[in-house]
Amino acid sequence: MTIKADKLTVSIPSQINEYRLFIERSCDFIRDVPSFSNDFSKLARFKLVIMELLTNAMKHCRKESYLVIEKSEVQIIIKKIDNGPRFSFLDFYTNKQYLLPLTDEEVNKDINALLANNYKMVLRIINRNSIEFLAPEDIVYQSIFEIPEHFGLLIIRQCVESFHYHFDEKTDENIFEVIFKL
Amino acid sequence: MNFSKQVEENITVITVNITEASMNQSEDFKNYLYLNCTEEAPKLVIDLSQIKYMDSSFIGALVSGLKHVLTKQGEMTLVNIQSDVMALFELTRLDKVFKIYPTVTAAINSLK
Repeated sequence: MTIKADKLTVSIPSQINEYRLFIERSCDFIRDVPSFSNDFSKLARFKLVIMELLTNAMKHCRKESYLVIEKSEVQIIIKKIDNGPRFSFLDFYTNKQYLLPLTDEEVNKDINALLANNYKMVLRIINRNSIEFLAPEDIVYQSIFEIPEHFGLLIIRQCVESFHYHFDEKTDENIFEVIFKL
Repeated sequence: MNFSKQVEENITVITVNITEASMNQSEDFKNYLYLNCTEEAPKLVIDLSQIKYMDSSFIGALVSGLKHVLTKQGEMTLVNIQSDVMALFELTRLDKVFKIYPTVTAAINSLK
C-alpha cells in the first residue's frame, strides 16, 4: 500500500477474503472530504464502487491488480488497473463483437452493448482505446424473469458521475476509472 | 455455518451469518436457497441483518432465488437490511422488486 496526501494505491490480491479492510482503508483516505463525510448516501455509493471494483478484479484478473484513489478539490477518481483480459462487448442489435483497441471507423459511436450475456448498457466509443459507460435511463423491469443476475458495471455507473474504461496499449493494462464530482 | 435455517409452520427463515456477502459466497448461497425450495409453493424469509457489505454477485444470487421461488408459485421476503446494503437495492431498483420487511415477525405475518 502506498499513501500520499492526495493519492492512495492499494494492491489487490487474486483472492480477497475480507473486503472490509479495503473498504475501511478507502473510506479513511477520503474522511477529510466534506461532501462525503456529511452525506451518507454518497459514502454508501463510494463503498459500493470499491466493493464492485474489488469483485471485478477477482472475477477477471488472474494476477495482482491495483486500486488507485486520487482526491482533489473538485473530484475523487478511483481507478482499478490490471493486466487481465481486455474488455470486450457485444452489440445487442447486430451481434458484432468489439474488442479494444477499436478501429477508427468505430470511434464516436454509441453501442447498445450486451454485457455479461445478461444486461444492456449504452457504451460511447471515445477513441480507439477508451469507452464511456453512459448513464442508463430509469431502470424498469418488465418482468422479474428479465432481471439480470450479473450487473456489476451497471451498479458502478449508477453510483458515480462518470465511468470509463481505457486500454493502455503500451503497458497492456486495463484501466477502469470512476469519478465522483464534489 | 454461513447460512442457517429455522422452519416455523410452513415458513422457512434463512439467516445469512456473514458480514460480507460477495462472490466468495454467492454460489453457495444460491445453492442453499434452491435446496430450501424443493417443495411446491415455498415460503422463504431471508434475514440479512448481519450483512454489512453486499456486492452484485450476492444480490444476483438473491434474484436467482426469487425467480426460482416464483416459478414454484412460492413467496420470498427479505428482512433486516442494513443501510449500506439498502443503498445497493435502491440503486438497482430491486427495492421495488423484493418484498422487504423490517423484522422477521413482520415478514412471517405477511406470508401467513
